[in-house]
Amino acid sequence: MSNLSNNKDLLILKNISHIYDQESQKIKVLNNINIKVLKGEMISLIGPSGTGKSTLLNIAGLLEKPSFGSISLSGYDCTKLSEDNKTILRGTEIGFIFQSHRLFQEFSAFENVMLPQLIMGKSKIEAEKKSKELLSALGLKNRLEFRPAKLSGGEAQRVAIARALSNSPNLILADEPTGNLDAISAKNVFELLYKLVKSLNISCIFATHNRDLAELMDRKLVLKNGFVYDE
Amino acid sequence: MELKFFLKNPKATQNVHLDLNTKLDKSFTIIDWKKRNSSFMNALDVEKNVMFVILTLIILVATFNIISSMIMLVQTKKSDIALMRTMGASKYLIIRIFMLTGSIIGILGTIVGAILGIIVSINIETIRHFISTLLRKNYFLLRFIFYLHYLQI
Repeated sequence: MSNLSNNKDLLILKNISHIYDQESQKIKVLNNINIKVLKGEMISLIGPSGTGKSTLLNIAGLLEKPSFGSISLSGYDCTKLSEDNKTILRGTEIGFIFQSHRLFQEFSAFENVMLPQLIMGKSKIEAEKKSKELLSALGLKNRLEFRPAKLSGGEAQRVAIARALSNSPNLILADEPTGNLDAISAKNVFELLYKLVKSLNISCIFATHNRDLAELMDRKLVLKNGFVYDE
Repeated sequence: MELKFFLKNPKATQNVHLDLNTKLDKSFTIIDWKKRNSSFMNALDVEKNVMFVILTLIILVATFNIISSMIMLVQTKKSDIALMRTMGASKYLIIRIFMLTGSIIGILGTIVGAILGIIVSINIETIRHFISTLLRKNYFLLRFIFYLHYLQI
């Protein structure tokens, strides 16, 4: 992998278009989208359901290949990367948070946070130390051995945040992480994530339907009819 | 006139047959116990082959069973696989996990199966007796029909 640049732009989506083939019908979900995410920036992504927010996050997270356009992450031109290198970049540079926490039910909160680190080749001792630190920082010191089923929605989402941060990524992609939470838990989870993003100087794209939360972020992007508008 | 030789080792008939053939006059006809009971031995041979085919089929069915349960496992774990991919897990790591799962199932199945098989074999007479008592009928006449308690197939 060759690093192209070393500037302040963490993520650059350039002329991204995406077309889905659905029963001989071509649906253009994203239309010539250009987004630049600076280091330490928290951006909200709002828009009605089905407008392609998740698709855009999947493309930014190197999970889907766009039909057209290029992606640059941490200076790497991702369009030229092999699948294996994309996987490595995804593991080291990106953390994902989903609407439902999507924690492994078979594992405890502690093990769930350890898993991404072990996947990326960290030692067990190192992974244990980092997991304890993160869960303690997120106020879950007394929930280390709890299985996800025993955690409240807000607690489970905090574990998911810890998991996303476990490999010290530079970018967090959050796909409606507060969508399943009540207003108070949603605000708490958001504030916690915002604080972490700012203190760790990482970037975050936060897809949400909650306009109040969107207002609290550094920048607001609106996705409508396949186009993205900066509000 | 008929001469009968009883050997200490009944399996050694072939060597003795050869020895006698070279040492005795051509007017002697040498017949060992296997040849004398050739139809019986053939029946045992057929039984052995049929058993081989049946056991092969059982192994095939068991193999397909493991394969289909592995396919089902992959299907049910699709979302977990996708999640692990977001964490940076490579395709090879995912394949390794499922290969390991399949191997563990296979090895454990073999060990448990072998242990159960040995236990059943050791206690076959007790089991026969128990089933016969339970059904109040002797379905296991093999011992008397086929002399299986001392004849090696």
